[in-house]
Amino acid sequence: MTTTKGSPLFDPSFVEQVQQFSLRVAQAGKGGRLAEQKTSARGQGLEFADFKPYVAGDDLRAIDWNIYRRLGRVFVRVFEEQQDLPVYILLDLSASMFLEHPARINAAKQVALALGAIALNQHDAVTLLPFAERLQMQHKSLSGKHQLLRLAQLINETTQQDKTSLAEVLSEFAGFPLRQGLVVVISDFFDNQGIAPVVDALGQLRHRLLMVQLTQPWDSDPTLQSDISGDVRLQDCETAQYADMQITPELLANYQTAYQAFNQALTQLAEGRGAGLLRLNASQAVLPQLTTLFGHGGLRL
Amino acid sequence: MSFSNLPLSVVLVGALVIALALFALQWLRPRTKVVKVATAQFWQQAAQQAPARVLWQKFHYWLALLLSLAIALLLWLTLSGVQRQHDNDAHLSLFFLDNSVAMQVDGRLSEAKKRLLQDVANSQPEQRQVWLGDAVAMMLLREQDNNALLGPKLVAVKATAHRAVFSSWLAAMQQQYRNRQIDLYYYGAPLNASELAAVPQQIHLHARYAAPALTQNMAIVALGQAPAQSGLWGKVDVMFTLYASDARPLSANLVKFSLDGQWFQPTDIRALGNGRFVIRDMDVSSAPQQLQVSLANDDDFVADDSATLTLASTPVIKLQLATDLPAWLRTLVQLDSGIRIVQQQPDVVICQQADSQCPQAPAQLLLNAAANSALFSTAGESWQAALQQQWQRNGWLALAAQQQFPELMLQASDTPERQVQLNNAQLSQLLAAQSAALPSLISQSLRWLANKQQFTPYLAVAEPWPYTENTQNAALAATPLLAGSQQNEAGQQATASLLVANLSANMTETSPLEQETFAGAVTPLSMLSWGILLAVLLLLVEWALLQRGRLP
Repeated sequence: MTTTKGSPLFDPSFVEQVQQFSLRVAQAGKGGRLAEQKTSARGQGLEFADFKPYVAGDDLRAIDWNIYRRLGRVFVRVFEEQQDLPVYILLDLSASMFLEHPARINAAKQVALALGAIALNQHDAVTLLPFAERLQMQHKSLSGKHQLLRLAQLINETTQQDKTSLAEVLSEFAGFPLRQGLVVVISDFFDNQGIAPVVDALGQLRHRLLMVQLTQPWDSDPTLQSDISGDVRLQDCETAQYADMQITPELLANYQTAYQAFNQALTQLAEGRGAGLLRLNASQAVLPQLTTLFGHGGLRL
Repeated sequence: MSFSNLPLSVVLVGALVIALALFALQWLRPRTKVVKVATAQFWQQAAQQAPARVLWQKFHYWLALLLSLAIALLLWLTLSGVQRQHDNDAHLSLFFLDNSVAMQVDGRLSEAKKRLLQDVANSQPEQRQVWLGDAVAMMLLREQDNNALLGPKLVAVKATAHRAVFSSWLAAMQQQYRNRQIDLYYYGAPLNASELAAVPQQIHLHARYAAPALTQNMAIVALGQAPAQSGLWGKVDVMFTLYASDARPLSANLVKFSLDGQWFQPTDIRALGNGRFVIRDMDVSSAPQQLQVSLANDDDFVADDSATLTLASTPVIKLQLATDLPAWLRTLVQLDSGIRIVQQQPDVVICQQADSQCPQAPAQLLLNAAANSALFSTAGESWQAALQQQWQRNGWLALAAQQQFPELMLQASDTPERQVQLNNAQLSQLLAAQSAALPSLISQSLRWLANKQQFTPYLAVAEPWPYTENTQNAALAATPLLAGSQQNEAGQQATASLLVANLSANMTETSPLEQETFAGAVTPLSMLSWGILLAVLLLLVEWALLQRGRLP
């Protein structure tokens, strides 16, 4: 498994390091298998939650005999049940992710694998959902540490698609009757319809949300690209449409204003709904940036 | 400035320079970099915020500017060129189409007309005239006439048997347009050196079509008649001359003869040398006959391959004699086959001057005793020179100077009746001397009195109608004759044939003037049309470049 430049995309040390991290949500949805995520479900567990009157069929071992002795009535102890967390990884495969050098997709795949490895390590269910113009539902969710290799294979098999319709993909995903969990959107969030429809679609998700925004240094400062100067004909990598520009300071200022507004919209969305937002520089190593995100070992959403 | 005023070489060099400049501009043209980006949406937002047009910024697309300039300047120069063309009034273009007999050779006239149509189509109607070199030069197109009128007019133009009138027409043009610069475009028979030398300096001659020389030509260049040398009454000798451009031997076998349309072979043809031949003792006793002499084999130029001559007639003079005339005179006139003695309605009467019983007649020959001369009298004076020449040819004037013949006296009378007075004594003296001149004097006097022509007028082609005192309309005198036989309103007949030795000889000579290409100005209309067409083409190029994304 290599990057487009030939360097290894995944290596054992990378996986080993990311497995030290943990991913927790405030409360996972009920209905899953027993695992490590907190849920509102009551059942088997270690942490005491409450008492309830005994009914036929309750576990006799849970009867609190001290209460029966004092009150003469039979109560049983109930515990918080910890279940697994459904993690839905939406990986952007549009042309913009494959364009530059290094391509954003390399970092995106590493992030996808890292988050998947963390989730599998804590017995959560991982579903990989590549997308571009449409969402691709090609396999079932993966659970268990032994599925890490399978996840890596799935990630590696992904190939470039055409243009992005991020807003439509998110709307489509929001309509699926899935157990509430964590949605990880790994993308550059570039959509020719603008960021507003994307923000609206993200707001409709019933899941916890983690946005991983792949960036390049020249996104915010186009002058870092030597070709962007004088009279240029810009071609959209996804639609192949041309736009003739004369690069002037005024135009650059307008560009930067537009880009800042784009970032601002994502930031406001993350703050508004308590979502996670990781801006990842695709030209730099992924692991150090993930370490910053996960802080002292865990990320709680 | 107008492109139409530039010489062709300058125009071609200019076109080459323009092509090289455009080629260089293609290399120098800044080529736009194409950069594929993922952030196109932000660039579009940035561009939308920029103003659509900004003053005082540099031109970004020089090719677009150059194309626009080329289109605009082309239209401007085209229109301004048209205007300048209108201003150039001092210049005149004359087109002359020769349809003389030399153009009867197959293909000459059609080729000349074709060239003329092409050239006139490219000329400016405001400053050109088109002339036809007919027997009398006539204008086909005046200034301002539409060029399209020329074609239908030329359809009816044929090459007819008349001599070229180019020289006389040229002199008239020089006289008429002496203050204008003239470009003369010529389409016709080759001009010889003398005709070229006569072209004035103000006229620039351009031989657009000079007929090519023939490889060989044979012609009948002379045909005439004279009273038979044998002296037989009612007989004439006919002379004709042959010409060949090559060195072939000339013989009578090369020609054939017809009389009033019937082929015949004369019995007595003699060669006189240098291509001259004589037919002796042609019988002209019957009514006037037409003799045609033709080459046995036609050549490329058929106009000089035949000639027609109306042979002399022998009119009979009705003569009435008075009773008291000398017997020798009666005997003498009875011997003349052309005279018939009548008793009434005579043409001429002979009387003694003192005879009071002299019969009435239109003309009188009077014998008198007083005058020592031969007195001829009638109205007018035009007849006098001819009569004097006749006496001169007869040698009678010399005899008169030696006192051996009556002195010629000419008198213009008030009446048209003709009268001759001869002295009895002098006639008796001639009779006594048995002079041969006596019957001739009597015979010729009687024929002068009868005023009946023996020979019909015979002319070379394009010579004017002969002036005679009987010509009623003087304007006819200047009218050149076409080949053939014609009769005027007065009933006079004249015969014309080609018989122009120089013209026949010139048919095989090459013109010293080389043919030129037409350098006439482009018409304003055609210049405007071409300019607009070119501008439209440039617009199409610009549109195509826009479609292909080569222009913004």
